[in-house]
Amino acid sequence: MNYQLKNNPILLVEDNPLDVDLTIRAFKSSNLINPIEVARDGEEALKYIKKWDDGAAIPVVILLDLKLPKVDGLDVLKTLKEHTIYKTIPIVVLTSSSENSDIKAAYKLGVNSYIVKPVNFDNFLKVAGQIELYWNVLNKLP
Amino acid sequence: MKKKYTLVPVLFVLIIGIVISVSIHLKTKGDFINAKNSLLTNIITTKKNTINQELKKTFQSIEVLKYFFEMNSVISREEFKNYTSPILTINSGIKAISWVPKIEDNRRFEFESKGRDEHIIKDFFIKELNTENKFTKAKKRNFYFSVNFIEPIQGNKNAIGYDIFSNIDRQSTIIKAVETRTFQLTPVINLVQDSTENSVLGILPVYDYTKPTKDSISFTNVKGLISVVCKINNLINTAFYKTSEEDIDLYIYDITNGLNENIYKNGDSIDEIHTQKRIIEIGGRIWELHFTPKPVFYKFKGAYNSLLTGLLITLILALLLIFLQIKGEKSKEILFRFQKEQKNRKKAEQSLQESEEKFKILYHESPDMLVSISPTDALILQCNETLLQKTGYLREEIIGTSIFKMYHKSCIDEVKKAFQQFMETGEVLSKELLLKTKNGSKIEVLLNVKSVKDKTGKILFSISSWRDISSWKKTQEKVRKSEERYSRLLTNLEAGIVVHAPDTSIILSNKKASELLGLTVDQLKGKTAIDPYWKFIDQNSIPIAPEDYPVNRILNSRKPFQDLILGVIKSELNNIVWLTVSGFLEINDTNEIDEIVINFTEITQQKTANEEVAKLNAALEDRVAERTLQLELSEGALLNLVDDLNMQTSALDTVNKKLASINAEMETFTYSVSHDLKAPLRGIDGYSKLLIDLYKNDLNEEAQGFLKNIRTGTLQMNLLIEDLLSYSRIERQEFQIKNVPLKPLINDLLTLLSGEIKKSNIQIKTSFSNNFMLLADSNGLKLALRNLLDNAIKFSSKSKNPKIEIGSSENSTHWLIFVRDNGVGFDMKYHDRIFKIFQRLHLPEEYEGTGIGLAMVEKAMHRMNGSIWAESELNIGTCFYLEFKK
Repeated sequence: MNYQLKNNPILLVEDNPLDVDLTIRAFKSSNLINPIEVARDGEEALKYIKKWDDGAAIPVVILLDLKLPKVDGLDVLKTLKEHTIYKTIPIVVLTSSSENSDIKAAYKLGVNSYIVKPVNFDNFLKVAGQIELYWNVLNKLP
Repeated sequence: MKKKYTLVPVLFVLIIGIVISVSIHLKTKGDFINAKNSLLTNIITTKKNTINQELKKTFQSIEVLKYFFEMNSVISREEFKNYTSPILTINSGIKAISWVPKIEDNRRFEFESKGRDEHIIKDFFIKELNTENKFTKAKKRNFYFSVNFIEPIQGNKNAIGYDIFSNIDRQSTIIKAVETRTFQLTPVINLVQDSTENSVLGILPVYDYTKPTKDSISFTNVKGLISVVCKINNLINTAFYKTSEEDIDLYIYDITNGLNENIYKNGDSIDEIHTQKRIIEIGGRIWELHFTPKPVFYKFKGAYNSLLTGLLITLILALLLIFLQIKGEKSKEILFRFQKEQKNRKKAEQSLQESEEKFKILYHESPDMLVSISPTDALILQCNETLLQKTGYLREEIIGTSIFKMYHKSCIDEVKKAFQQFMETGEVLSKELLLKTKNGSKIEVLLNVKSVKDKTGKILFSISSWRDISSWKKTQEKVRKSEERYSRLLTNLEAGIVVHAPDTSIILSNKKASELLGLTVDQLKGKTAIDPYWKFIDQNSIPIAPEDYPVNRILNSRKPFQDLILGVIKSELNNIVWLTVSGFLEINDTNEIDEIVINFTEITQQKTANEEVAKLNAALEDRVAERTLQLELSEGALLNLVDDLNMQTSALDTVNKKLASINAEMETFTYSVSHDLKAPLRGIDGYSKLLIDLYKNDLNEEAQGFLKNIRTGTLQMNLLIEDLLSYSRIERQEFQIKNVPLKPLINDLLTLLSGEIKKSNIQIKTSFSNNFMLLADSNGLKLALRNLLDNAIKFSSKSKNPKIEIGSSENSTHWLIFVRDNGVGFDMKYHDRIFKIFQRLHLPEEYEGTGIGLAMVEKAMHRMNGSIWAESELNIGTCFYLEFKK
């Protein structure tokens, strides 16, 4: 897999339009310049595999909600982490649930990180900053 | 005619005699050669085996030296001498033994200079033979096999220093020995020290096992060689003469690899017909042994003796025949007469013998023992075979001895009387006496004596017979014993037996009968069936008529009967004895009753017992009927119960199914709450925040305040959701009850809460033992204590000197943990309310909270089979107790 990290997108898999908007805003407020692509359900997320095969830019990180229409977030995670090529893409589960069962299942399937999405927007901004920090592959304006 | 008659048999004898003599002679000679042939093969086989064994034995002795060299790194000449001298003494075939070390070229100089000192040879160097067969200094090679020690040194000194590897014959043998790691012999060679005799060299390689073995042919780890010089003559002669026969020559050819070299000669034989070849393999060589018998081996000793003897005998026979022919005519006549007389006499003798024989058989084979004695001195004159057989004496032992000796001493007086009687009357009849056999055992006999008298009436001798009556006596004894046995049986029998005569009087009765009837045997005798002494009654206690009495029944019916039950009343004692009676009769040849046998056993006890049993049975039947009725009733009840139970079980099943579906619904509900409820809250909060941030200038203070209130409400709502989830989690979580140490758990919590504790400056006191353990679920316990500590911190934070105490105690049934604070406290009338969900005693602005904490604690305690309660006083403080069952 040979791709330029600098301009590669972040793939956000999220069904709630408010959450999509807020997440994009949160990343923007921490000056990330990576384009953010959005998949609104699990099925759409899995369609990206075909796109990557056809030469689309591979995301630097996938932010994945668990409760998704059509195909469940954990199934998306499983499919990607079992893919021979794309299993190396970092996946961060970003979800409201703090249930132990969800956390365990996600880590069992090989998620790189599990972050509970805070209700408080101030905290949400902090989390967005942490994601950027943690996956320092992401590009940021000076 | 007379001449012809005499000459034919003579000629015949002569011809036959000669033919036989000659053929015997030829046969003997043939046998002799055959015998010699097989003898030869035997001898040769023995010799070959002996030679083979001797050679092997000789060379095996060298192996010992090999181990000696392999075990020791340095060997002195002295040691070598000590080891080789016994080998040389024993094996005369070995002329010399030498130690030939392998010398690498780089050590040549050292070896040579050392050699000069050691061998006291001024000009010592490793040497080889040049083309003129003279020693020269060895040419430079990679290594040398130079003779270093040789024993015996006398006559072999020349060989010291000689590189035996330089000689082509020796070289190939050395290579082969190293290659196969075995003892190898060279072909016949000329020795450097002595070339007069055929010799072979034996080579045995010695290895240095400390050096690595690269491959089998490599010389790298060869330490040296043991070389033995053998003179073949000595070697073979020793073995050859070990076996005695010496009329055989032996040549040996070395035929290894197509060679055919004569290496040994013994004798000068050329006989090829009888030559036998044998092969032996030794030290890698193949030697062919040619054994040839010397001519003397087949010489036929005493060859014509048998022939001459045969002819001589033939001649004598012929002469004898002629002589007999002449004498023959006269003697024939005499012979004829003699034969006739003989025949007649034989006939007379035969008839006499026959009658005598008959008498003899009668006498000797008589079943009785027969003996004749002389009346004057009672000596035995004659006896028959039967007597000898029965008494075991030999005839010689008996004849002439006194008749008294034949008897057992216990009856000797009787015998004397019998003898007296015989003397007086001339006979004795049927006298029982006891004989004594040779081995001392007794024979009971019946003596009968008759006498043989002369004309004057004088007794000449007796004819006595002893009839063996031992077995008859034994039979008699058996009969007696048998009678005794029956009598005993009768006496001891547990049944009474009475035998009546046809007139019903008692002939015989036994002991039991007396007992049962209360009379002695003697008293019973003579009594008849109709006797006032007895009364019989039947089972129903009705008196039996005399004609139906047992004996009379049989007498009248002439039939046996069985198991008649009757009671006997004995008038004297007036008690009843119950009996079962059977009887049968004996009828004689004239069909008259001989006797009547009545037997009876007592059943008084059984009869009484039976009556008891009958009574009991009747009672029992009543009871069984009663119980059966009861049982039937309770069975009905039981069936009803089972029906009820079944119904309840099915109801339980339904409930369980409902519960399961409720649980599943609960899961879905929780999942939705976690995910879906939070997202809109996040939206509300997010956009409120964005409004405040981005449109600050467009909003007045009041509007901004509204937005802040929206956010506060949102966050409160989030808190409630979180707590609700926690609360439901307690129900959903699995609890594992095990031993939990309290101290580390409390320490963890205090560390976790240390920020708030410090902030409110709270003094913490712990008063539980270090090892306090209890049975609980560690997560549940942690949740409970966390909430209690949270509360304690929250409600004491406004006190003057805030204090929290955590302590524990236990008794035989429970563990107890308490958390005490000196906070605001509460009125005990609200005690039960505080544990209900969403119940709060304070305003949110006073003390924040969702009202779920204590409800969660109570639920957790409930799940751990524990309980919680509080003691509180307003403005003094509160103490919460957690109690766990042991």
